[in-house]
This record gives sequence, structure tokens and C-alpha cells, in this order.
Amino acid sequence: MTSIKVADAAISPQLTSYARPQLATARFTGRRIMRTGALWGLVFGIYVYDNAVAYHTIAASAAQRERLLATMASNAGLKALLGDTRRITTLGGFTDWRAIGVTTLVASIWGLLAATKALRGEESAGRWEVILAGQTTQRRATAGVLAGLGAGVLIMYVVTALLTIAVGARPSVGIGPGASMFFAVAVVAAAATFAAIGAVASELMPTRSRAAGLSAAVFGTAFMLRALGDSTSSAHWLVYASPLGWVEQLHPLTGAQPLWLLPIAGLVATCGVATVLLADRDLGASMLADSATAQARTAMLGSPALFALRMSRALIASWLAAAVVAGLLYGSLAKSTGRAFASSGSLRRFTGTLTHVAQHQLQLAGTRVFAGVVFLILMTLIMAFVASAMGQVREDEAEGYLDNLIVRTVSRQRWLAGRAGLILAVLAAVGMLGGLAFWAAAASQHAGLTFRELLFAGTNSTAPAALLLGIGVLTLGFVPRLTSVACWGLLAWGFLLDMLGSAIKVNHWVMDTSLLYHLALAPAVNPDWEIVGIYVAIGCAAALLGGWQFTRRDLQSS
Amino acid sequence: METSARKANTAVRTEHLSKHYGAVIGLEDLNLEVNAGEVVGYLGPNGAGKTTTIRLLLGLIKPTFGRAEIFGMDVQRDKIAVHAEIAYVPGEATLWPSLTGAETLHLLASMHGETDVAYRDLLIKRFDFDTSRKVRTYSKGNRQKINLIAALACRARLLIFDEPTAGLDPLMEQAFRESVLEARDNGQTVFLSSHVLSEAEALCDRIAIVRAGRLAEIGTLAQMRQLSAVTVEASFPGPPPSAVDRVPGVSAVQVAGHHLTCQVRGSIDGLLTVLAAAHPETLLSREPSLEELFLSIYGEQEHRNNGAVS
Repeated sequence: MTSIKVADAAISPQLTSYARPQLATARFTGRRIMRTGALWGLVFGIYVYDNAVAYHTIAASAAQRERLLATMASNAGLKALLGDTRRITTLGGFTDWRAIGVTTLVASIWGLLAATKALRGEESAGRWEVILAGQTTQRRATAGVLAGLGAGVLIMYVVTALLTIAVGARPSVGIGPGASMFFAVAVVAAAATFAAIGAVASELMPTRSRAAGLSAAVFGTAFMLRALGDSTSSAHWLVYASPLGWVEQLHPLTGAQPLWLLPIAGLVATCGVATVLLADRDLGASMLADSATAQARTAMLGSPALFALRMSRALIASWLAAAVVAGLLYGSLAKSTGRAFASSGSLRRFTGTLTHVAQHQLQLAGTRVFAGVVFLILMTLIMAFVASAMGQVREDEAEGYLDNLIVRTVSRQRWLAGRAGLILAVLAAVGMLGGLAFWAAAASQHAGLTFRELLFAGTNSTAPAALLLGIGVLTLGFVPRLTSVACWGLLAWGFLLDMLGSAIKVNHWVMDTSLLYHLALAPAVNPDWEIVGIYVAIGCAAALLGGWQFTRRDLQSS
Repeated sequence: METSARKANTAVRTEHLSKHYGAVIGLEDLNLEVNAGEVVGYLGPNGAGKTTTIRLLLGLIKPTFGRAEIFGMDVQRDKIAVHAEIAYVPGEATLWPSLTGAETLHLLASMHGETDVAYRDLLIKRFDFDTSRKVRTYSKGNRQKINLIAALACRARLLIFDEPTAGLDPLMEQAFRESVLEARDNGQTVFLSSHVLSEAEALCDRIAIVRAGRLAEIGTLAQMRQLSAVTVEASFPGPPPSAVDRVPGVSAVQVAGHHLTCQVRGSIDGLLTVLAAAHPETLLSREPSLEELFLSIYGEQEHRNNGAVS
């Protein structure tokens, strides 16, 4: 006879209890955010070290250094880029100005991206409803995510503080532990502020990209206010209207002003509370309601490239607008800044090794040097666009969007060529529009820069981005899961080498691996079209090879 | 040498089609032919290799060994020509959340190259689908309707469905069945991967069962039933005869009080003799359902994750 035995496990439940399941979202979010928080804390620590070394190596003698730094202190363009200065001729003042100016920007972007991904990103991906089916409510889960973000900020603080203390303890640096710890507070204050802003934006906007877009708009506005306030004495009050200005006012290494933590803490707390309160809504809904229905608009749905343009047109418009606004802002400062630059002969080490080619022309073309520095920044921004866009291309494959198209009569070649072509067109447009805007603003000040040389400078600035695009496509073809990592990694590597290369001697073979190193700093010097051609040729070859492999390999989902 | 007539009559043909993911076998040595105009069900449990087969047929992944043809065209070499002849519905498609239903249908049609607009409108009504809403507001079932409508409306010669009714309510499942039968009547070929055995039973001319990456059975339902055991149920005034266990061909004997259920493969004469000797009050024999066929192929041991059968 047949009999059925049932395993004991089915009739004798033995439950494993998990401590405080309502904290699951905090633990889950914290675990992921803490990794990147610690990583950026490490980078910030290295950057502090770089600045401490750069202070001693920026000029041949103490007298020369003092003259150079005094020049910088009165330079409107540099103030717009990095912020206002205080006691810049001291090591603390130099580190305060240069490190805070850069690290707070990076920390802010990290904060807003982390928050929008953890909140709206998870909800849009459908993972949020699984979480909410557990022992929690939407508000509790949201509060948990905020706590997780807080843990990420905390670990960033700990790592930054420990490394700054270690650097500060060196006899040649001499920054006390208290000042080092407050310096780390200033860095992570920016991260916390924009994480909080990103959290509110996640409640207001229906998709992650829009939430990130809104947060980025707030960030861009805050940066512009801070830059205008710092570079224009009659409008200095604008600094106080910007959260980045509040962070700047902390001056952790030059006479700390902790009272400025109050508006920062107030903003973070207000945004945090608002986020939790707004979270009590329908799943998938948003406070700034987007219409659930719409008239069908079938324009730009006829080809993969046009469709990609339609889906990313807001993002592309933002990049173009940012290039134009930045070009206008810095172009308007070109003349006065150039005058100050021209009086300094030791600028090379300050701006990094990339400016070495301009050394002999500094006194003749201060304005061009400043423009060169601005175009270097534009260059890296364009590379950031490429890295971001290639990440999106990979995501379309990983998330299955691509399947919808290539199971029809769209070939992989056509799809990839359309996407890469669109990225190429946008990066060229950003470079040229940035150049044109800079020229227009500089021309209004009679700065002496010609239309032709700035157009060339803009074109020159797109070369490393074109190479990065080719490398991105190559990676997509052979190791698709590493596409985003490779693009952002190369960008960060170039930055890191420039940063370290300006302070310590780095082997030229290592420097050669930087995408930024070989480019002429146009318009400080004429673009080296041979180098530009080599960049573009390598980029094209890499893209062709990657595209060929992409058509042969298996599609790989996430 | 293969004639062009045979090629034209074969919608799908695979030869030793295999896909390995490192040491893991996704599909092994699949030899399969689907004739033009027939509806073939492709069944198997999770991880058996159904989706791997479909992704190989679509050219989304490359075979480790073997090859596949659709209407005589190599799926790897002639991807675009192949894709012009097929329409595919995945189990769960990732669609663009900011597009409306109408925009998505327009996009998918333009990427395919052609569509029957009048039939699409009919399908929109049949599936009771509101095209004006944005994709992110649709339920899973409504998102699946977009895929179904887009695929059916393009009138492709071969329709490939991978769990197409996941998320559909019973009324919409009925609309789907109606559409598949309509496609078959129209001469289209349907390759249907499904977990819904009643759906496959109702729609398919032939059934293929895949197991652990290998084709376990293929044939019409009638052919499979002939090869399979017949279920016999009987009730008695007293205890059922214990000799049933020893009858050749009898298996899966279950006794509950005075009621006996068993399966018999081959001749039923011996079993009837034993049962008749015990003077049964009722006697019922029936062919196995597709579900029973499926389970008999897999065995209850594999089907029941948490239990054991001895």
C-alpha cells in the first residue's frame, strides 16, 4: 500500500525570530549606503592629505607661496569655483578653502543620489511594496531609510575625521584633532543636507529621475548663489541664502563658526520630518501629482535613437543649460580673474599638473589660463555626462527594456549606434555651447578672447569624453556589468592622478593612464589636434570593437 | 536534402540546441520541430529551461552547441529577418513608465515594422484596455495586456508566448485563449510556454515537456495519454482487495476506508479480475488530465518540495 510521509518540518514550525523587524529598512539601507559613505570618506581623507602636501610644494619658497596665495585670495574666479578664503596663507586656511570647496560638492551629489535611489528608486522598482507588506508602515519604513542614510553619513564622517586627524597629526601639518573632527563635520554637513533634500524630492516626484532632477536643480541653484555671492562683493549676501554657503561659513580650520550648523541642522531636520510626514500617501503616488493619463504623443517613437532622445530630453536639456549657465558665469569673470592670474608665476602647482603646458604663458595670458581651468572643469563634467549616459545604456539592457526592441526588427547594431551617436552629439553640443557661452560673457567684458579660440577650446574639451565613450562601449561589449564602474572609475582615476600629481611626483607611466593628462589646456595654449585626433581615433576603435562584441554576446540582465 | 516545402512548413526547428552557463546546464540537446500553423505547448517547472529555449530562439543568447531555425532561417545569423516573422510576449516585460499605453503600443509597432491597426483596436476592446493611462499606473495584468495586444496585432507568422497570462484575470485569460485560437485559424503558429496546464490542454495541438534542461516528452495529448497510466477508482462494501498491489502494471495504490484509487499502465484485464472478485459497488476509470501526466513525468517526489512519497 502507498503511504505518504510528511517531513517533520512541514508540521512542526520552528520559527526564527528577527530582532525588531520594523528596523529592517534602516539596516538594509544602512548596509548599502555605509559602503559608499566609507569609500567617499576615504577619498576625502586622501584629498586632505593632498592639500596638506600641496601647501608646501605650491611654491619654491615661503615668500613666493605667500604672494601666490594672496593673489588667489583676491581672485573672483577662484572664489566662484571654490568659495571664499580666510587666512589662505596658512596651511589651515589653504586646506579649508580648497578641500571644503571640492569635497562638499562631491558629498552633496552623493547625498542627493543616495537618498533618491533609496527612497523613490526602490519604490519605483517595485521593491518597496514587498517591504511594506512586512511589519511596518510607510512612514516607519521611510524613517528607517532616513536612519540608514544617516548611518551612511556617520560612517563617512568617521572615516573622514580619522584620516584628517592622521594627516593633521603630521608635524608638517599641525591641525589639531578638534579642528580635524570639525572639518569632517563640515564635509558631511553638505552630504546630510542634500540627502535630506533628495529625500523630500523623492516624496514630491513620481520617478527617481525626476526626484534626482529636482534635487540637482536645488543643488545647482545653491552652487550658483554661493558662487555669485563669493565672487561679487555687492551681492555677498547671496552666500547666506545657499546651504553650500552655510557650509562654507563653518570655516573649520580657520576659526570655526559652529553656529552655522544651526541652519544646516534645521534644514536637515525639517526635510527629514517633512519626508516622513509626506510618506503617508498611496504607494507609487507623489505629492506633485503627475497625471495618470495623457494624450498619446507619438513623435520620436519611430526609431531607437529618436526614442532615446525623447526619453532623455529633459536630462540632455539640463546638461546643455548647465553648460551655458556655467559658461556665462565664468566667462563674465574671465577678465578680472585673468588679470590676477597674470600677476602670479606659480600657478601651475595650484591648478594641477594639467596646467604645466601653460606655465610659460601665464604672465601673457592670465585670462586664457582661467578659461583653461574652466574648460578643464567642463571637460570633466562632459565625461561625467558620458559615464552617466553609458550607465543608462547598460541599465536598459540589464532591466530588460532593450529586449522589447531587439525582439522586433531593431538590430543590436542599430540600437547601440543610435545610443552612442546620441551621447556623442550631446557631448559635442555641451562642449561647444559651453565655449560659446563663455565667449559671449567674456566678450561682453572685452576680455580679449576670440570666438574661434573658445570654440576650439570647447571642441578640445570633448576629446577625453569621446574616448571615454569608446571605452564605455568597449566595456559594454565585453564586460557589460562593469560598464558604469569602468566609466566612473576612469573619470575618478583621472581626477585622483591630477590631484596627487599636483602635490607629489607620480611616475609618468601612471600619469599616462589619465584621460585628462594629455590634453592641452585650451585656450591657455592652442589645442593639440594631433592628441585630440588620437583620442577620437582610439575612442572610435574601442567603440567599434565593443559594438562588434555587443552584437555577438548574450544579453545579460541584472 | 531538405526540400523547400518542408522548410516552409516548419516554423521552428532546433538541432541539438544546448546552452550551458558554466557548469550549469540551461538546455541540453533539444531537438524540436514545430509545424507551421500548429499550437505547441512548452511545459516544465521553474528552471527547466523554457525561458532559455525562448531566448535562444529569439537570438538574445547564443547556444553553446547546436542551432535553431525559424521558418528556415538561422536565428543567430538572420536575426532581423527572423524577428520580422515573430512576435514575442515575455512573462513580465519591463516597459517605460512615463509612456502611455497608446504610446507604448505605437512604439512597439514601429519597432516591429508593421501592425494591423484595426485588429489592434479590436484587441484593445477585447482586453478592455485603457490606452490613455501611463504605464507606471498599470497593474501587472494591464502591463501584460500591452505585450499581448502588441504581439497579436502585428499578425506575425510565429507567436512566442512565455507565461503570457501571468497576472490576467479569468475573463482576460478567456480573451487570450480566443485570440490564440483566432491566430491558429489565421494560419499563425503559436509556441506557448505556460504553467497553466488547463490553458495548454485547451489550446495546444501538441505538448512538449522539458525537464532539467532536456526534452522529456513531446506529442499530442492523445499520444501522451496512450503512453500514460489510466486512473481507476472503486468503492467496496468492505475493505478493498489487498491483491491489487501485486497486479502487474498497477501503481500508486491509495486506500481510504472502503475506497481505492490506483493507476494502471498497459492491459487492465488483471486489475478488473481482482476488483470484480471483491464485488465493487462503483467502478470508475478515466484518462489522466494533463496535470496528472505532467506530475507522472516529474514524479511526486519532485513536485512536492516539502514531502516525501514512498
